[in-house]
Amino acid sequence: MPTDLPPFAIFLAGALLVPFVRGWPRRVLLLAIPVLGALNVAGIQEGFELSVGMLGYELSLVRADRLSLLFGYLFHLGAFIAILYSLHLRKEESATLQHTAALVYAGSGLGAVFAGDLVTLFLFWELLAVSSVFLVFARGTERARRAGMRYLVIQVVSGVALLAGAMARAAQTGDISFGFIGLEGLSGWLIFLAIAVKGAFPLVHNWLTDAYPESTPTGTVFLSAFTTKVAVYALARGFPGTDLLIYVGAVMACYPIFFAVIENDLRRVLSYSMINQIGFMVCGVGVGTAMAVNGAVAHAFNDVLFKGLLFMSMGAVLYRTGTTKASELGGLWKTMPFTTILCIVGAASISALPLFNGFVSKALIMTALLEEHHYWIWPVMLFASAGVVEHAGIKIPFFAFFAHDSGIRTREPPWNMLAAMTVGAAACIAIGSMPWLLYEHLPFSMDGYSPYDVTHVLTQLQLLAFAIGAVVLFRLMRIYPDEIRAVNLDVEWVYRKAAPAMVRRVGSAIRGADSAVRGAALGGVNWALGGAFRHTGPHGALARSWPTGSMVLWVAVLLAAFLILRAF
Amino acid sequence: MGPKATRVILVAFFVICAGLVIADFVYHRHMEHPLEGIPAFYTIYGLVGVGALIMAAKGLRRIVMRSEDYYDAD
Repeated sequence: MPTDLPPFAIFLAGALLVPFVRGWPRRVLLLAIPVLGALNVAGIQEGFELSVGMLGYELSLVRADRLSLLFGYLFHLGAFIAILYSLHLRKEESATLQHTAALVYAGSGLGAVFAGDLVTLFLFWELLAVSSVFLVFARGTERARRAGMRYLVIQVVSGVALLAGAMARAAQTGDISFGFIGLEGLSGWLIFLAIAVKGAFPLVHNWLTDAYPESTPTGTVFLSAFTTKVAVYALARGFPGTDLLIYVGAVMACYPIFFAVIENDLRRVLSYSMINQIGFMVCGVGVGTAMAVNGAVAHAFNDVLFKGLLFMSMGAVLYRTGTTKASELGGLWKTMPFTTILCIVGAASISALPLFNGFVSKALIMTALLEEHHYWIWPVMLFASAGVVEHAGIKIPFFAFFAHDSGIRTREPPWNMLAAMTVGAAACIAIGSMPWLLYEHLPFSMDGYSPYDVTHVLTQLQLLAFAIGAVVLFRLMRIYPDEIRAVNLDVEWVYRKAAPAMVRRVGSAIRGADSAVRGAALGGVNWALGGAFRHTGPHGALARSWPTGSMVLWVAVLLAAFLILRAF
Repeated sequence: MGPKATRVILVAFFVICAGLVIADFVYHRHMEHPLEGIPAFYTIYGLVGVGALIMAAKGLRRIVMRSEDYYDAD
């Protein structure tokens, strides 16, 4: 049935209703929102546009084409899974705050991917930031509050860059529509910078690994689905074929895996892993061919599913044990067998094991790299693929559920968490074994491409098996790095440690100069006061009281002198 | 898992690895990248790549690792 209701409207309307209902009616309402939304999106025709006039510009609230519709489907699926996962939330876990913020957040994600112009994109871009930060605050800890504030500042800066870019573009061309932009002129670079921040590009990535692990068990699942995927969408729309992105993507795919190996907090490992996966997407957008862009958006689609599944499994561990630190965990498979299996499905998917969804999307990017003769980048991305197996494929499930027995005895998470993970796992396997389910919705025709040929399956299995083999050997030889309770410095050191220290140092320098100046001024004032006191004080010559007689005498002397002078 | 189960899983895993190396010499896979011409290239690359990754990460620890309350200290 064709509809013309903007996709974000259903989520925002739901967010207005949710605070007023409690108990099971709220659960029904929460689940109904993504379902109704999905039915609505299914009814939106390709090529549909909805515009409103505002301030002399035509704002395009909905622009439906194959690219925006694919992200539309994805966000509904991601929202459904995450909402199901957070259905159990009770009052003590600030349920209303989390549910409302999550709905506004998902709605802004939809608003952003359907936005046909830069101003509408900007509005939803900022709404994404402002709504999602409450999912971090909802954790209720001081750490979360501080991480949330840092997150918010950085996200708002990204929005400001986008707005400045949009204004510069409007001034130059008089056009605010959001199509291909490219790295041309100030406006192109400003918009690129905005996307770079939101996409966690190298050096501006640290908000992600800072804030996501501090969110609630359920909040992180939402966070992992929308913000960075909106950035990937915006890149695919505005910057396909930008060479710089190939190299940025290669760097992004590689450096986080070193941090992931030594990170103790497993949700932070997943955050680094997320940057690594976005690296593959950014690289694909940079290559820019139909195959590569298809691969990038297909990988974004799959990442929401498998990264969401992994974050859900770690959320379940956090919910039941109160920690996701690898140094504290181990042996949980005995009491959380279903969560263990579902986590392993996620681990297999992100590792791109054949029959799981990561395989069918990463294949497109790797194939495109070879087709376009990027012979130096391909081995780099292959290394990054092997690295994924280490930290996400092995480390996450191994240290949480196996390794040494931590002695923790717990139980499976609530039914809705298990159900959400099962839906996610089923989607990972379904797309992995029937890739055409995803391929037929990609922006460009796949023309009968299949990732399942003998060479590709064999080489992928070889890579994965021996990547695992390296971990096994290092464990057997006891040289695998231990899990240690520690923090690892990253770019955030600059604004969490160096800059505050610098401000303190500058502050104390200013205080020193200030007290010197004040001291000198006070000395001057004291000197003046002292002088005045000396001359006009009780013993001062100018303040002496004179007897009337001497006054008369002096007046007589003056008069005499005057008369004498007058006589001559 | 008991040590026995662990051993069975390990042996099975090594058998699979050996099978994958043998398969590389039996099946003539098609190649596009010059590196792929190296016999059993993907197995070597996976093993050496992840080995180097882990060793490099251990080195990285010397530079970036701080105590857990590093940022809370002041």
